[in-house]
Amino acid sequence: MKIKIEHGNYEENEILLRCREVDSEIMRIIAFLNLQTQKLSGWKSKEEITMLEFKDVYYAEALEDKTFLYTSKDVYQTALNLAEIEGRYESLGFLRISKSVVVNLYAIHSLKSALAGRIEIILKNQEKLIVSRHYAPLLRERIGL
Amino acid sequence: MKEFTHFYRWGLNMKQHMAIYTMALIFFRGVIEVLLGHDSISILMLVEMTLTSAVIAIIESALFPDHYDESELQRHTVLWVIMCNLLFIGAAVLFQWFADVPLWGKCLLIVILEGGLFAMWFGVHVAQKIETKALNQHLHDFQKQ
Repeated sequence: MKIKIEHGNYEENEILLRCREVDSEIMRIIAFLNLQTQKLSGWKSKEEITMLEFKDVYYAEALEDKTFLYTSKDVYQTALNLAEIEGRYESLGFLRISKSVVVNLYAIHSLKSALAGRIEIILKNQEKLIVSRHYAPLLRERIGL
Repeated sequence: MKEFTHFYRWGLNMKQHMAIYTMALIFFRGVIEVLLGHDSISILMLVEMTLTSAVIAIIESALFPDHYDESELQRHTVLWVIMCNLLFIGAAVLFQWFADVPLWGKCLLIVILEGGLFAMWFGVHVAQKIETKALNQHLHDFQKQ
């Protein structure tokens, strides 16, 4: 694969991918670019909206009718629901692990097999989450096990 | 909140082990009742079996907490085997769960108990560790992509 960089008087930076077909290599590049450029909006109070880098969002949790984004230390509310986070950002590593939680696979420090087919997740901030028995096979499949 | 989730997760794991032990005791008592031509188990006996299983599961969770020192595994496994034998056999004698079983049947039950404890140890400390290792290997490969 060739990598070409053109310098010029452009209004904004632009990345153009030319390919014969969208294969796994291109998909990985797109996911990587999304990871670098896209952000998730969240707020602690409505007056101040914070743009969060995807890599900083460890997991999203639905509580009652609200969705919260958890970073290493902070919690933000977001307008997106879990299905939207899971659907839109699956390619960035977000995966549903229970009815109420979507986790960022890149924020996981380690996994631990638990009884009854469940999996325990230890995040990079040492917080723990449980992958329910129903969703554990999806996690195994996603990481290629 | 973190303390609550920690306690909740501990309770979840402990009760699973307690349930396995309770079901095994009820199953073997049930088989004996059927062989003796009966079709019921005393409620008091069910309570005794459940409480004994709870005590064993609680001690077990203290011997094998979430993150224990691997160098202590051998010593704690020996303690766990002794504790399980003392409490299962002690409770069976004290509460007369299998008093009506002939000597050869009691010997068979002890052999089954030892086999069951080995299966439990293998499941928790060998099979789960093998899967944990594979999960982490695949996770780290996924994260490097």
